[in-house]
Amino acid sequence: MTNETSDEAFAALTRRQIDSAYRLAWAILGDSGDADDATQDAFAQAWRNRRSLRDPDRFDAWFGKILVNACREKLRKRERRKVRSLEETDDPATADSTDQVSSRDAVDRALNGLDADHRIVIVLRYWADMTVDEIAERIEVRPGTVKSRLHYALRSMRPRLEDFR
Amino acid sequence: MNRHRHIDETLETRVRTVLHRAIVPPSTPEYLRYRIASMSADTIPARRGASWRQRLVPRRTRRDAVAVRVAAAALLIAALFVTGGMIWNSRVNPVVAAPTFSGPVFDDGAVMFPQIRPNGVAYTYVDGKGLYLTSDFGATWSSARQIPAGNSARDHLWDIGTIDFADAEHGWLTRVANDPSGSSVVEYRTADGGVTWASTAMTTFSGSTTDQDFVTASQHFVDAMNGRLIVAPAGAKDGDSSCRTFLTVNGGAWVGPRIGACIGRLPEVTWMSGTLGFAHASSSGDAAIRVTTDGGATWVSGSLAGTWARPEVQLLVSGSGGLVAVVRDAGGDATLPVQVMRSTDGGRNWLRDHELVAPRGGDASVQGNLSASSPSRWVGTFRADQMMVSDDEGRTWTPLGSSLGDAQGLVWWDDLHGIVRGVVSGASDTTPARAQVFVTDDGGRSWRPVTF
Repeated sequence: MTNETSDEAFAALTRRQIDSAYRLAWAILGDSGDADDATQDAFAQAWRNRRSLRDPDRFDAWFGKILVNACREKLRKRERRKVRSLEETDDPATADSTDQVSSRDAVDRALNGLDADHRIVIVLRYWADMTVDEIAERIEVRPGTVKSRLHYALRSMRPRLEDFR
Repeated sequence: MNRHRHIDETLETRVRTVLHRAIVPPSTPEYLRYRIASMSADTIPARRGASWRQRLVPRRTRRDAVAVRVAAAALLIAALFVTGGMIWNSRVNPVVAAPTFSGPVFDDGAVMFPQIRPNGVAYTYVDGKGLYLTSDFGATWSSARQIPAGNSARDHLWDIGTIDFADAEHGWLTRVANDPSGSSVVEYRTADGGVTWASTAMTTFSGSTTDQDFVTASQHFVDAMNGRLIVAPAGAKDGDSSCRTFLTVNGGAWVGPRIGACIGRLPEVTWMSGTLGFAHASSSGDAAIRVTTDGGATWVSGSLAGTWARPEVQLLVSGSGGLVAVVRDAGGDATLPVQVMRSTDGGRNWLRDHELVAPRGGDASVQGNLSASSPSRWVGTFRADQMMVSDDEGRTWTPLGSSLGDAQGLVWWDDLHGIVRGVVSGASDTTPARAQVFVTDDGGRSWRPVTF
């Protein structure tokens, strides 16, 4: 990836990932605007860091990390906004409604109850059907950490999924 | 131990099932695809953590630019006052030397969703080849290989979204540019099907905040004379009072801008015909739709009856019984039936009329593949890419006998003649290289690819 020809090859690699990247970002973030931003940010960052991709065959895994990081950044900003709004209101009723979803949408409620790291492993494991080892590589943690996050996240989601029958 | 393991496995299975049912991402927005596909080493700024504009313009230059903008705005206001807002009418449009287009290279055959204008002319954009027009239902196509020069190839692709043709010869294209002296709108016109273009620098203005970029535009002509152009700041949402609207009543001499509310999330206004259009006004949990029946001059804000997580209008038609919308809930359970809703008061109130019935073995979600060739004749693409037709507002469906993979942007001239972007059925959705434009002249029973 050191010359113009390589840039063209890199462009071709990125174009093949647009749809799958947007789908995954949307699945993790659950919001079209945030998914737009995260997808675009991820591709922009991929272009900036393209020299660090030594093996084009590893593009999917390499870009996957960038995308998940972009989504994590979005989720954390969302969490900070949520914390700030709670601090500003001090109103328990408002605090209870921060999910801003309908009561029917049990899945959003369940996912919204998780922090960024737990939400990501749940979506990667049970929506994207990735293995624990694949997730570990994607988010750059040990497989044991993935298992631990999955365990905690599932335990946290269980009561919220009672509505979803 | 075994019991715990059994519980975990049950819970895992349940979570997997629930997520697969509930999380159904929409198609990638076309504008996002263009933006990403046109990225290159030259268009990506090195610094992070700032807006696109901040990355491109040094801080000191931006500060200096404020004074320039204030002066420019004062001059503009003075000019408007003196001329009664008609200063653009008097401009002489220089003919733009139109360079041969050389855009970013997509995979071979990548095409834009075809568009059909009110008077029957249709156009599409074929990457690496340019703009193509047809006025005979797709039988023959003329090539407008040259389009006005932009700052970069990326600009070209974005500009395509603001092209509008009133007939096979007369078209408009708008470009919004942002630089330290302010944001500017440049209008290009063609009277020969896109072979040559004349430009008019419409205006320069500053945003409500000094670093606000005006990056999106929606242009719509009801006919060859009457058009509306809306320019929005980046990230503008429905109801924001920050959009600039220009009007023309004589085919391109624009008056404006008038500052007003943004409609929907530009440029995502969907036009079903020259006069009928809608925009999603909803955020999560807020079931609202904006509808216009007069080409965008006035908008009605309507509420959808029932509980919705994220309503998504797939189709809007105007018939003798009022307005009919097909709405799915994109934020809730994907297995919930798609609702056919009716409004008899011009779009203010929407009541559930009946459920759209999925064809046997089909998927009722019909994401993005539902179209109407007339108010009562709907065509959908369902599971296994099967195209089906309904003449009773989605209650029953009959196979058309044709199939196209990833059929998107299906639009109709009439009940017989239609056009769509699709791929040959059976191709993997990871091979957009095979995307082509197809036309039909038998109501969708057979489709033939267009060779550009």
